[in-house]
Amino acid sequence: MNALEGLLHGLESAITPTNLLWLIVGCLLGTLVGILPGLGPPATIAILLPLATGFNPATGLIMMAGIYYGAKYGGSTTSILLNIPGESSSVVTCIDGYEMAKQGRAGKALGIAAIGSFVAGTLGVIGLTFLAPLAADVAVNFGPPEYSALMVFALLLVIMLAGDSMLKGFIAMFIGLFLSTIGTDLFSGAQRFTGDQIELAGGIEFIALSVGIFAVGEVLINIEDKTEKQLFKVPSKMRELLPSRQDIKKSTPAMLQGGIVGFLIGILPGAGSTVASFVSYIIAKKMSKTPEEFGKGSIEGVAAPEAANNSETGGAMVPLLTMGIPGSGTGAVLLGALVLYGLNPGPLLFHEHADVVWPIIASMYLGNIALLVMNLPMVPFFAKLLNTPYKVLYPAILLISVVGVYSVNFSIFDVGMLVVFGLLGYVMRKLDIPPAPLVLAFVLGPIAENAIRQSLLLSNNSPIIYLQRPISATLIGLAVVLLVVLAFGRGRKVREQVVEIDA
Amino acid sequence: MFRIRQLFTVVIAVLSLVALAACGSSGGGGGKSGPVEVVTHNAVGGGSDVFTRQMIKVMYENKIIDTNWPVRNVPAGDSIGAMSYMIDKKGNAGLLAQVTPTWLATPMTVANAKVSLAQLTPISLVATEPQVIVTNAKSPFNTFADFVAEAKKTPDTLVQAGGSSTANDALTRLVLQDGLGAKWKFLSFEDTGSRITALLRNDANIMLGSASDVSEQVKAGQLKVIAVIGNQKLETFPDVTTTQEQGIDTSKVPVQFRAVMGAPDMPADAVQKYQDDLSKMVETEDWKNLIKEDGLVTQNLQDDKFSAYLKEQTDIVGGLLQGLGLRKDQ
Repeated sequence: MNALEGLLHGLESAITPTNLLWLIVGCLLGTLVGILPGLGPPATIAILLPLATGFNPATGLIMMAGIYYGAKYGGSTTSILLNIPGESSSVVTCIDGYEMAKQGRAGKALGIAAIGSFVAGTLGVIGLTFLAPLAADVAVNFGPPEYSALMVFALLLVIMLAGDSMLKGFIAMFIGLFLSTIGTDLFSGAQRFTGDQIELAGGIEFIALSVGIFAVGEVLINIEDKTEKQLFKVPSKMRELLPSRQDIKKSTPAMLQGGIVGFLIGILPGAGSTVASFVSYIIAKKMSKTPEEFGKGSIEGVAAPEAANNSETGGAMVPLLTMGIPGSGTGAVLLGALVLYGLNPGPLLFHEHADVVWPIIASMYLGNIALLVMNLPMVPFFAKLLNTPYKVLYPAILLISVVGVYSVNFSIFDVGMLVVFGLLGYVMRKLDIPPAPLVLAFVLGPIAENAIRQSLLLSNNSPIIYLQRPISATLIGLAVVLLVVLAFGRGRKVREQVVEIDA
Repeated sequence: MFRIRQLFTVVIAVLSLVALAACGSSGGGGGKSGPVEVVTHNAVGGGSDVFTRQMIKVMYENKIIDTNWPVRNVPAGDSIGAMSYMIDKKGNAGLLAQVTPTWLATPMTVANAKVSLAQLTPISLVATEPQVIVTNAKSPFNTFADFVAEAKKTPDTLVQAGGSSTANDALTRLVLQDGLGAKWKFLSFEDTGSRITALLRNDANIMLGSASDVSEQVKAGQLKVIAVIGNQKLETFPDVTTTQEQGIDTSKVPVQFRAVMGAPDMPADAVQKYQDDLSKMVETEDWKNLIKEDGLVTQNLQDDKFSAYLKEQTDIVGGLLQGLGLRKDQ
């Protein structure tokens, strides 16, 4: 069955009242859990599994897929409004999204996030429909040396997020890398920096770290200013709450770019939406006519990562549906669901169960439309929430943070970590050290470490392996070019800082 | 005030969602036989989680149990969290756990662990999951004996893809290397998917895993199975010879088992009831299909037989961890 034929068949069987109903329920639930930090799609799908296994497989999986990408739409909401990244992929959205909210442009940010998600989400599904077999090949050929090179490249990009001071970017990145080493070492089984705390054996919980540093840190620093003034100016006119035609025009290249980057990175198992969102952010900054706005409330800086984050869904479905290899936590849950339905996910799934796979893919087109229709009318409502005085808003942020972090593992220890990282976030703001490089390095660290150690084990500790394989050699080449640009383009600033420290 | 009320509405909505989630995962259960909950140390979608749900599904659909028992996922601490949860609920007649060798090994690697498998009430060792050895379909190795011969010729060049250094496949490698006098490398990956793609890319030569991990790739002609570890053939791959048939001794290899255990001091009548349920389960057609799909071998060892088996495995795993210098509990 060719792709177009399959898709049309899929659409035909996806458009039944039952399927559409559960698709909308899935999207709605997904949006809700996306808004809340902590309770992510895996947990939600898990709760619904007993119910969903009673459905026929296509209906159940359509609903679960709806939760998956619905959560991606919802994830931007708290990042923009409250500086709370609900998922690791929303960390980058915080940077410009929250700045926009502070300037009274929350509605525009939320609106562009929804539109960008729709455009790129659809691009991602188109990629999944027509390029799946090709993309699966790429995923298989991406081994440890390739991941190592990708991570070197990505960590260099992380420093570029640093803002004005590269030195402070480095500091943040190294703290992040250090924190990511805490836990059980995969290779030796040794406990690293856990202080014999069993709770730390699995590593630091990401949500506790990111919500602490971003949201709690922000609240703490703001409490110092004891003003009664309203936090955010929110325009009262409906038209000013939504992105203007000019905003959309300005963000279109970022959305399309994010859509393509997101899909490409999404097909690599493990790299995922976090890498996709910030790689696309950096590219958008480099391509933008107004790069100086980035970090200070650029609408493109919201459009690009949100777009990448959503087209990643289509990409991540590729290894899952073509090879039975889940690329992410949610992928693993969907894989479990496939097994429970008696559909063995693997290379033969498309052939043996085309009647289930194609309706799921078709439903993703419909789901993206449904989510746009659902999300846009909510934007003014959410944006106006920011009129709330800070006396109410801050306790609410702290409450949502604590509840969200607790709900990940139902662990009080994690709430303690939230407090620790809240204080760290506060200190970093005092010292003007940017938080984003820390959080991203924390996500990338384990991938980088594992990949580098795996490669060196394969090559008996010879680094030549990185240059022997074409994909990794290309990426290393790109990283070298980037390093040169970084060193010479910003050389003077770095030197000045070094002099300052010496003096 | 209006806006404050709006905010509160949102906060309350959010809180009720969390409450809903908490209820969902802790699951009321209910029903005639009282609430029963089954704990697994996997997050949803993990091997042990899926097996637990499949087992409950078979019992429920065959009317052996009258409610669909909820599953509680306690992934914290790689079985330590799940075990602590069980031990906190001493004497509970409705609390079961689906136990794997991880539950044996992890407490041994933690200094001053307050929990151990010995505290739980044994019910039944339902099945074992013999490991199979797979290679790329185009690999020159057609039996594990071929691989061993090559590994002896070129020590430390062939590569086995696997999990963490304390996982079953890694420990199995140690036993095999010692017994055979051959050496090969071990490449750790976090998930099974990466191990399979490492084989497909020819970064690794072999992988040890359960039949269900690889059966689809084998069917698609991408991978081939070159041995089943142990002395029992698998229904999933009836043509594949066992390591014993290939002349390789694997009696000291740790076995991946799937057992059901209860909360500490579970009342004897409850234990008896669960043992009867599980004995009925392993006789059903659905179960027989399931073990064929998953590559399991039915054991249903209860009482003394179960305890003896557990003791034997504890000694094997404990000795291996000791050798690695990872034993922290003594």
